[in-house]
Amino acid sequence: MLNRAIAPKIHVLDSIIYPEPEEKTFKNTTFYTFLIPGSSVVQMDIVFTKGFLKQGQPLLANFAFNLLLSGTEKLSSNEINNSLDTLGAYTSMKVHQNHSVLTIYCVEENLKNVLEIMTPILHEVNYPEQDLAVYRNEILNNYKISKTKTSYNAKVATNRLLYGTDTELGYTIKEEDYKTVSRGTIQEFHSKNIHKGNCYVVLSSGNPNLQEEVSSYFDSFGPKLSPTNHKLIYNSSKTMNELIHVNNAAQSAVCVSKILIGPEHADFHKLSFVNTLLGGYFGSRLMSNIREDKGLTYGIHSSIRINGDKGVFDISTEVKGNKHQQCLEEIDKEIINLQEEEVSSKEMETVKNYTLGLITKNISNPTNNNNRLINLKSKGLSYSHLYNYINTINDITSKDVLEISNTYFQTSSLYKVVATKDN
Amino acid sequence: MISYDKFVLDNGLRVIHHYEPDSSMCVLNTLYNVGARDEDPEKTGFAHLFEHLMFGGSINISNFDGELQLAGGVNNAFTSNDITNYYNVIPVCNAETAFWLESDRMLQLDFSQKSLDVQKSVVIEEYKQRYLNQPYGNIWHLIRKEAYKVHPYAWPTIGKEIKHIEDATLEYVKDFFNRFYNPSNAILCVAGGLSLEETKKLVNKWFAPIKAGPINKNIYPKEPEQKEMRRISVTEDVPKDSIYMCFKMCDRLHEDYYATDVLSDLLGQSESSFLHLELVKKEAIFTKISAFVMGSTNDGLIVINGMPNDGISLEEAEQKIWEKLKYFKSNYLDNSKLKRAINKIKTSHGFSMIETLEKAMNLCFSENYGDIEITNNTIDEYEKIRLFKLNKLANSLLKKEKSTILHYYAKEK
Repeated sequence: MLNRAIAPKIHVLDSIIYPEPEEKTFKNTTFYTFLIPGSSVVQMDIVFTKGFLKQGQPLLANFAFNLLLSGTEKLSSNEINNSLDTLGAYTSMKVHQNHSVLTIYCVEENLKNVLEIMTPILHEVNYPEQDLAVYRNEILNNYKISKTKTSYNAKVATNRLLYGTDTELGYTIKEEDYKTVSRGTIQEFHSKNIHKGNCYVVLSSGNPNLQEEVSSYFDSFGPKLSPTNHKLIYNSSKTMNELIHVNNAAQSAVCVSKILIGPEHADFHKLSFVNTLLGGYFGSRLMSNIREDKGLTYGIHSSIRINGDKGVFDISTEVKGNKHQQCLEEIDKEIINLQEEEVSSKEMETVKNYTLGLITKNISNPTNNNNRLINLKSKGLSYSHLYNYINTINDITSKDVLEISNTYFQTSSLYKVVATKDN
Repeated sequence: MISYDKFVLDNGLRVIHHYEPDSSMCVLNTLYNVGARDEDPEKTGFAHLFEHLMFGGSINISNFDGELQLAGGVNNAFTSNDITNYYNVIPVCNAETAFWLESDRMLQLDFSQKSLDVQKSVVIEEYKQRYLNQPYGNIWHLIRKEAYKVHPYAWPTIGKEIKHIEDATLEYVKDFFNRFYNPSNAILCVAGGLSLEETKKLVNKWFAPIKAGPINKNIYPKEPEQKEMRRISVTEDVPKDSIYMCFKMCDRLHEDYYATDVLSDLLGQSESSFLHLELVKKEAIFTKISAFVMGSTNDGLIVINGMPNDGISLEEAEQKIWEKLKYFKSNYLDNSKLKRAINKIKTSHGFSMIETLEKAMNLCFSENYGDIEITNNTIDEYEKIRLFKLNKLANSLLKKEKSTILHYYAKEK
């Protein structure tokens, strides 16, 4: 008779190995290639080493990159889009702090034709007024919609407090900013930062020779700009709390945050572990208490993101109308618990196994390879950063958790923002 | 092509196996043939609430998530109008833990009042977060109610109103479990690095002893052919006006499904689609406009959604869309456009064949439609489409008398 009350034995995971790309430089452009055996499709990321920091004017990088395929002297955006569509290609553009990524998705046999059309445009784009107007309209519209959301308002206020209103990251975008970016300044930004092909290429495909086959399309690309300085510029506010009023909000958005040590610090990976335990997964302390026990929210999450040479910690959630105060109290309680009481060995094991399992899952999906590499490179890190994290997870003890919680998570040092209809 | 094996247990559980020998992970995907369309019109949102309760402890195991996480697994679930789907992704060496957990909650839930009360609360907050606290969050409540007069697609999976969730009782939870949650009404897909032999061994050990149960034989009322234009108009606290134009379309298994999908792509999938080129770029009537199909099992909707530019009224904007649709039906379609749409579909299909979890879900969906080969035949079906068929469909679908139109006005502009 099967005894369902007894759990199957849990085995320790095999060692984790990150897929690393083959690296090769052709003329001025470096290619990183991941192989996906048997795949008929290709993902190519063209990674420009310029993002929205030091862009000169709010939103300028956003305009310049997102309109990168908007037209040249010879080709209109309609013609470009139509050619790419005919080849079954999808493109996306993402602008980050220090880098921007143009991604191409297509079937392998069409990549050459896609690049034939696309690579000259990267040099020759002339940002037609009509396309600029359409794009301006669209993002202004999105901005107006975002502004009505409690979560957006809480996020913006948090950035003001954390980074300071006089910095690029703490600056609050205004409607005016969408209107003042001109074609001339976009073209200037392009010629300074994009024109020469200031990029590297990351490729995933089933064909190990593809990089050789397509490298010539990048021959016209010039030498690269000097690497980015990864220092976070900020000037945190003296005020720790802010309450924002939002009309007709059905829930209150809560955001708790702090700037902490960065990836070079010996405690950084331990801090990441404590973050997972506190609010980084479904079974976390915050989820178990504030969602699964009290039912105050649909979800509450915390994260630590590397930002320049620092780590930025935040907890965010949307809670039942008038329950934001209770939520903040419960967050403090959970943090104090971590500072005062040692975590049980079962919970330590759960967080460790969960984290290692999640890493294994992400590795098993090859569509994550490109992003993982781009992420590391954009932060000036290598795969050893990821292996160090795994070593930390294997070694960390409940004593470490106590120590980290006491060193970095003093509740009085956390910025707390609420966006709510209550005053 | 996705390779697979399929077998059926004596209790009716259909098992699909897809093997990737090099993978260090194992996916266990379980689909139950029950969705919001199976709900009592006075107790809506229940299939989704029930999905939450499936994590609240089963007869032998009090904490599903905790045990799975301890074994290095990740899991989640979702409910649609048609089905409820649960998945676990776990390292192969601990695959048995997922079999243990998933089979125990198929066997029997541990119905507790506390779990029900908390999850009611969580779902009510989900309702607010996704439908009330979001600008335009209530559009599907409005559209479904008007577009479907008899079919249960008349409400979204979250439910018609919060009160239905508040009113859920433990007794109804038990009844729902007994009606729909059993091996005869489920499909299990095991995909990844676990061999067929191991899979059979574990399925026989954990799932075979569960008793067979009723199969969901609900017959959904066929929505009568719409013969008049339907209109909804609301004014809400949003920053911009918005328009939705929805047209009745065929069900997922109908031979016209793929061609209808192509029609929606050509109308409004991207910046080179017809409506964007005409109404955003050429005439500057809209800030944005798009079109898509609802891939529902029963009769679906083809939807056009746009936000007019400042100074353009919704009436004017709608008039323009009708004008353009007229042109679309008579002059726009040709073979190169059809080819273009199919090429894009081939690319996205190629990407859907990479991730193990996505493959496992697609195999289960196809099996639930009644033909597991649908997943592998998709591209062939698109390539069979001929231009005359597209033209015919465009003319028969995009008609005023088949439309449901929502004018969503911004309170202050």
